[in-house]
Amino acid sequence: MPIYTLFTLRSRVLDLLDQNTELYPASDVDREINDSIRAWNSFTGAIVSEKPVPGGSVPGQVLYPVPSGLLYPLRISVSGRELQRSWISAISRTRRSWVTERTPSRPWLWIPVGINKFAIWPAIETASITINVFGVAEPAKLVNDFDLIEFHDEDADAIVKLAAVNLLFREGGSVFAQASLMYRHYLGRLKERSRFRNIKLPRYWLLRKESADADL
Amino acid sequence: MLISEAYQLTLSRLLELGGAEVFLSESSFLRTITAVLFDFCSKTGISKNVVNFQALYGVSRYSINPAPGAAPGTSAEWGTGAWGAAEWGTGTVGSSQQALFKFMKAEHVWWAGRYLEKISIHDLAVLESSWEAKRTSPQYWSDDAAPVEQIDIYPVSDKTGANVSPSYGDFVGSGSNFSVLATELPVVPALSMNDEIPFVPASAVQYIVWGAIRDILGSSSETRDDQRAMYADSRYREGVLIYKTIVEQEMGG
Repeated sequence: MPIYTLFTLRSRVLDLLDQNTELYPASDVDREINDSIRAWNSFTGAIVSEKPVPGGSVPGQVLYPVPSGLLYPLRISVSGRELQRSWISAISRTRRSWVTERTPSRPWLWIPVGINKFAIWPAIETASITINVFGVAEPAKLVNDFDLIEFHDEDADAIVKLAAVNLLFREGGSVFAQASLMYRHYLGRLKERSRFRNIKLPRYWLLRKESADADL
Repeated sequence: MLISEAYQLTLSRLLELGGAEVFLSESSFLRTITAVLFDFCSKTGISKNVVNFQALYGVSRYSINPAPGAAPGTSAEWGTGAWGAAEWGTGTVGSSQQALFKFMKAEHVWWAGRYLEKISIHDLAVLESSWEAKRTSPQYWSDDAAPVEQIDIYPVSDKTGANVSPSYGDFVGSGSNFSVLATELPVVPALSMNDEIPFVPASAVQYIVWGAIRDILGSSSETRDDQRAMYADSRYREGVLIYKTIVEQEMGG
């Protein structure tokens, strides 16, 4: 997969903005690139990472926070052993008192609770057992010119266009209206790359007046 | 991202740095972004938490936002307790540890650590004709007939639980009390410009800002701009859709 630097991505965004660095300083461009990468990653889940729960297990604790830096969990392991995923409704049908059950050190299941917490069953009685969370990660912020990120070319193109539209937003009028059609390109690419096959994306179109202006 | 940073970003996108107070004061922005955050959290169910509170002999209806120190079953205007600093690593929010979230709607209920089935009033009447008079261990809960943010318990408890203040963040299975899992929402008066935008991960903050911009440009003031409001609205809805989908498809609802 091709590797892009922040410098390259910024240059491509500025190409769409007539290299107007007075109206669009590098700090603004970089912020929109980073936000666009985050949006793209929310849909694709392409950037993943594993992080430990700080401090490990707490005796009797059922709910744990997802470690910072992760967007949402996909797998949980305790002492290197992967737990099976279940759901609150599923485990509660078979073990109604599961939130009170305990094990010295070997839980079997994990249960997502929103995107920022998870439960384990049975709760661990022992302190400081290692709990690792593997999940979709918050993308590392690109700060320096030669910070790197891997993309398919088509993804990089969509991200560059979204960043450009977000910047051109401040101009308003027909300039923005015309540019905003690039958002449709981004949505089309998201539809192809989303990890959720049936997701419905918002529709975006030009209002009549702006459409006429854009045609001029 | 701090709310003050979101304010600056909003002004930057609207090209109104300097003289911003003319059309968008900080207090106005604070109200707008909190309302958007409330809407985003309620539509996506992104952040959930557990509240534990005391069960009372013979009481069937309980608020899921119990007031600390008050009689069980009565409501607080909002929930209290340490807000999710541990979840997002943002430190203490606001000038105190109080009152930063409330619960919208119960999703799962436990009594004494035992899971209670959700049931409709109709099904309950079919199942148990004398349910109203029965006093024993709770087995079901319902919100069919209860006011918003409240739940009904059947049968009503035949004992009073241990006398505890409401607690948050994990299940307390002992003491014959209730634990409720619900979506948490921000409380409007508790946020200030120096607070982090709570409840949502860094990747979702941009959608909150787009929602605020939509509301600013879509209002009937001189800032109205329908095309830009439509774009901001599309970006906001994009965020609601993806995070709602993540919660429903990856996190089990």
